[in-house]
This record gives sequence, C-alpha cells and structure tokens, in this order.
Amino acid sequence: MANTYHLEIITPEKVFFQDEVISCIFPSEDGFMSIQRNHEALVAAVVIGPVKIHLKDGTWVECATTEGFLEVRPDETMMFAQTVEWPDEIDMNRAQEAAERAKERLRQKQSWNEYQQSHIALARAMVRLKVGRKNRNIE
Amino acid sequence: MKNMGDIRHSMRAISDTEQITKAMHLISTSKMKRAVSNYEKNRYHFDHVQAGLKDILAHSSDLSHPYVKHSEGGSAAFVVIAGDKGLCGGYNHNVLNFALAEMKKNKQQYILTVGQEARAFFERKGYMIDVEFLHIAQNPSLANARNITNDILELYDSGVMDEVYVVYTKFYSPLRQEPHIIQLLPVEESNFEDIETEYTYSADLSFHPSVKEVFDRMVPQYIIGLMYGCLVQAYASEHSARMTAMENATQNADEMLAKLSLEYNRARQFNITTEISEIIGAMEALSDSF
Repeated sequence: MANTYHLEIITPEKVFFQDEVISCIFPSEDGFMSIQRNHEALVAAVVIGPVKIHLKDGTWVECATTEGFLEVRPDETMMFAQTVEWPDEIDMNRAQEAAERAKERLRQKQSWNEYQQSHIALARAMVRLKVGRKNRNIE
Repeated sequence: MKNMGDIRHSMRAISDTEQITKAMHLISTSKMKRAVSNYEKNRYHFDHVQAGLKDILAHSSDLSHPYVKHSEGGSAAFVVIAGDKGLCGGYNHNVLNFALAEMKKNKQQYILTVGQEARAFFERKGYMIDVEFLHIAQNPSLANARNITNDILELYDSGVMDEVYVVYTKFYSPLRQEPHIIQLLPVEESNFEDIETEYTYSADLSFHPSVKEVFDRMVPQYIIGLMYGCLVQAYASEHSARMTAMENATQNADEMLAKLSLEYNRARQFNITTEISEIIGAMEALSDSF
C-alpha cells in the first residue's frame, strides 16, 4: 500500500515489531502522538503507556510500552524502549503485585529519587494492567 | 623409573581434576548457549541504538544539554565489567589490564566495578573502588542495567564526574572475545566513529516536546540499553572463555593420563621382567646345586 511506512520497535531483549504500518499512536510527554507516512524527521520522548499500531491490513493492535524514545527518519521510524509487550504476554498477577508493591513504597517516606522510581514502577504496572485486560486486536 | 604406586597416585589425582574440568566445561557450554542467544536478541538493539543516536546527533545543531556538552574537569569514571570467578583463561586478566591501561590516560578516575575479580584486581593494585555492583556479573538483567544506570546518572548529574566509560569484553564469536571501551557520557558524535548509519539525509531533526525533555529521557534509556548489551556480552564472553579454558584443561588431562599410563605400564613391565629374571636366576642357582 502506498500510505504505509516501515516501523521498528526494538527493546534490549528482542526486536519486538518490524513491519510496514499505516500509523502508530504512542504516548508522549504531552499526550498521544500519531506518526503517519511522510512525517517530518523527529525525535520524541516516549513515556509509559499503550501504543496503538494500525497494521497494513487495516487492523489495529495494541501493546504496552515503558519509557523510551522514537526516531522518525525519512526511510523508517524506530522506537527504542526498555520493554514492550503484547497483552497476551503480560503477566497480570505479576503486574498486580508490582502495583501493590509500588503503592506501598509510595506510602513510605522516601528520598526524591526513590519516590520517582516508585512512581515509575507504579505507572509501569498500571499500564500493564490496563493493556493486559484487552485483546491484541482492537477496534 | 618411578614406582607404580606413585604413578597410580598421580593418575588418580589427574583424573579427579579432569572430572571437574569436564563438568565445568559442560556447565559453561550450556550457560554460554543461553548467553549467546540473549546476545543475539540484544545485538540488533545494541547496534541500532548507537546508530540512531549518532544519527540524532548528526542532524541536530546547537545542542546544549549536560549529557551532550563536554565539561573540562578531567575526572573520568570507569565501569569495569569482569567475572565473579576465575578459571576462565585470560578473560579477567585481559579486560582488567586493558581497563588499567585506559585509566592511566586520565588524571583522576573513579572506579565502578562489576564482578568480584574486578574488585580484587583493583584492590591489589592499590586503587580505591568507589562503587561496587554485586551479583550482577552472573545475572545480566535489564533491572540490573537500570540500577547501574541510575547510580551513574546520579553521580554524573551531581557533577562528580565529567566522563563515563564502560570497559567490557566484546563478544565476536565463541572463539573470539576482545576487551573494548565505550564512552557513555557525555554523548558525542566522535564516540560513534566506528558505528555505521544506514541512511543519510540532510534535514534537521525536530524534537518533541523539547530538546531538553527529549535528552532527559532519551539518554538514560540509551545508557540502560547499552549497559544491558555490555553485561550480556561480558557474560557470553566469560562463559565462552571458560568453556575454551576447560576444554583445553580436559585435553591436557587426557594427554597427561595417556603419558602416565604408558609410564605405568612400563614400570609394571619392568617389575615383571625383574621378577622373572629373579626367578630364573634363582632356578638356575638351584639347578646348579643339584
């Protein structure tokens, strides 16, 4: 199809996604951003949240990402993140436990750094829980 | 000629040692396989994240972020990754001596070690170790890479160090590993001279939401990814080196055993011959007397 571009989502542990797509919606610092074909060259910070991908066959899929960054180049778009997971890869029990743990840590008195780390851990668990409840294919 | 008891004793000792080296060889083979499969999965990220950052730096002008700008303080920090244990050929020795040579180029250094061998080495040489990461050499996980990165960035942000390097053993193949140094911070285009970008274009990149925000988030992510890659490669290198070392040790033991068993048989033969000639001598002496 003419309106597609090449998207790669890469994590240190694997190549998560590598295909032609129509668009990709990712969480950035100030809300969701969508990248479509012929987007200007851009570097954006990716924050914890759900990523929606419009595949070339017209279906939408959703996955959960943690922090990273995204580079749009004329030839392809690359997203680097620590972990990206499909809903069926998410261990809901583990995410639930992680959320509880992070909440517990947030209740205690901590240094600013520890506070931020707990906060990130909580956000990570919450997005896993949110995305994990759904199917991979979405409307 | 040695006596048979001595030879038997050393043969037993060697075959005991051989059993151990054989077992270690098998263990490190299986660990190496797992480590290499992790490395294969990581390699794409490791190469592309560096190419990506090089690309970003090449296409942006007037960057003035602390992670990018070089400050002239001259104090450098070295993260040295070595193994927890010895018995792996020249692996620890090579990477540690390489690190030491690199460190001598800087006036003031901070040392951050991963692995007990690294700590022991620098203590022996009389260096102060500033941060010591435990239990990471044997378990290269993303969470560990994150912890190391947090510590490094905290020190860097507070202005204690001006440059951060990581020294690790680069994994080329199970038979070839070489010590390697990467400059983590500040992120400069000159760090990536040996990295190839696949695509060239002339447009300037735009940053969303802002240069500062992007670099604040991107650089830590980049370092976590790189750190994880280094840990994984060091782990794969260590086990490959140990595998080779143990294979050689087992081979040597086999050779020694073959030599000793020859010697043992000779000694046995010699004993028998002496006994026979003694008996014959005795018989002849007896027959003469009749």
